[in-house]
Amino acid sequence: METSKLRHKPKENRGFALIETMIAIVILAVGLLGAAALLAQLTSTSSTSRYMSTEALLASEKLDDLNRLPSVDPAIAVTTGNSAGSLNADLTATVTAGAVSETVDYFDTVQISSGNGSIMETVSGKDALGNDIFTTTTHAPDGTVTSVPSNTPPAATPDMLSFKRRWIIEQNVPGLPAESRRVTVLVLLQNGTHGGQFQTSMVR
Amino acid sequence: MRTQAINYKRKTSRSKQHGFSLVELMVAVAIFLIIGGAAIGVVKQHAPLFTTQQQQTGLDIALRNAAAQMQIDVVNAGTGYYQGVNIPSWPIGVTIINNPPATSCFDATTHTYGPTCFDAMNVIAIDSNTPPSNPQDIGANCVSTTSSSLFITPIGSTTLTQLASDFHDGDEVLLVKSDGSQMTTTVLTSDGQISGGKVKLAHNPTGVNGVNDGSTGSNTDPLGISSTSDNNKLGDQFCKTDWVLKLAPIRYWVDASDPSDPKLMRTQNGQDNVIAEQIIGFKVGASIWNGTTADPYSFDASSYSHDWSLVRAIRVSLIGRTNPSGNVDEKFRNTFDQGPYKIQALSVVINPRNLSMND
Repeated sequence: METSKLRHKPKENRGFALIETMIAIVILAVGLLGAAALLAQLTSTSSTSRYMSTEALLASEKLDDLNRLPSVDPAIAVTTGNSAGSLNADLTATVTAGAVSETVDYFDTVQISSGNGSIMETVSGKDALGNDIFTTTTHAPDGTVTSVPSNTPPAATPDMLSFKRRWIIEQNVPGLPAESRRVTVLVLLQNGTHGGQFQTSMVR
Repeated sequence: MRTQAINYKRKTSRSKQHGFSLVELMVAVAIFLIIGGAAIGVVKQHAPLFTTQQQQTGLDIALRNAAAQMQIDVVNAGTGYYQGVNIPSWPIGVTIINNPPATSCFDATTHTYGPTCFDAMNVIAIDSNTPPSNPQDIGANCVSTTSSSLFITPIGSTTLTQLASDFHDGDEVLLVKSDGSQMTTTVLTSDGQISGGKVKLAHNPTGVNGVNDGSTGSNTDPLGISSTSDNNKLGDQFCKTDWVLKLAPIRYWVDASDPSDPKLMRTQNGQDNVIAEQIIGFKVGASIWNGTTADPYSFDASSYSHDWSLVRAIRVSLIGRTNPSGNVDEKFRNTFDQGPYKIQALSVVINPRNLSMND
């Protein structure tokens, strides 16, 4: 007790100096600005999650699209080795399955825009002769929906989102029945910075 | 006691304390107010953004929920028929009612949507609580659905009483040939009755070839299975090896009775459920399988002659909007219909897996 008494006594308490107070205020203000910046960050995070949810939809759409084809279709046949297609590069191959020989793309692009008074979704692909084909589905407010193929890609608009899809078809996957095939689809946002990527698989 | 004494002593010993001067304090407070005010300004700028984000997230979740529900239902389209009812080429999974586009359905000034902007879709499922039965008139091998009553025979251990109690006035039944080559549908006009060692079903007679286009009065088909004569899978003659199945369809449609808030509805067993509100687009297209190549999705069922057995996959295009009355930015107009709300579109491809596919 004596010691503590001695230590305190000679010290003179004089409150904060102005400079000390100002430093404290600046620290506080920096903290507040940080909180504001956090809100701005929130905006970009939520747009990332929105793109991700679109990517998830596009991936499942492609899976169902491939599942629509009978198992003998060149587009989902695995004729050499244990896989067809790639998730790392845009692959194109000529596949002969049964009596049918076709040029098959293992990738496509999906362009979505809401300009011009309608929702447009363009999916690229190949027609029966192996030419590039762009199928645009347009949905207008009055309930008009058209699905129109074209040989040229749609004109870019400022709000257009462009997604790349790649897929791979594998057979003889360890742990799966011998007759089954595993289809994996990868979706990437091509323009914009908050895209991320999404990947999903299905066994048939 | 001793401690208290020391504390007291310590306090009183601090006689010379300097706090802020008034001027210093005012300068400090002024600086704090300026910087703090600026920070609050930044936060305030983001506040409406936050509301908008919340609304958009809500819209996103609503649309995804609706799509998920449809996927579950459509994937199972055509299921629920029994072991023993082995129909190799099951003729029907979904029916689609495509409304022709109509500019008048959408009011660009009030941003309201009428019923003709939307399609409807029926998922044709069989009631799994009602056992299948064979159609056969008394003293004959076959029945014709152009008459107003048909007789059915239970199969297996099902008794006449059990079978009769499964059918009620207003039920819709599907008659289908054992090889799936022909079918028709009819609505019952009274409950099932036991008569002459069979169950008698009184029903609205169909037209010739099992067409229910309303041409002979009561022969209407709310599901659109047989409402046009162009479907080549329709017929009116069914025999004792064919099947009578009670339908338990699921209908997706848009209730636009309040044009400022069209709602996506799901109706099953006469019960309406709201799946999503503020739906401003619901169209259903079909991918038609003609044996060689898949065409682009067709949003006009007459282009494939309402031949539902050709439907390989369906594509649902859904558009929703945030609540127009909850708009926080007065000047905002979307590029779709120039309305003061955000919109989101979602399209999904679904395969009715139980349709007759070649694999």
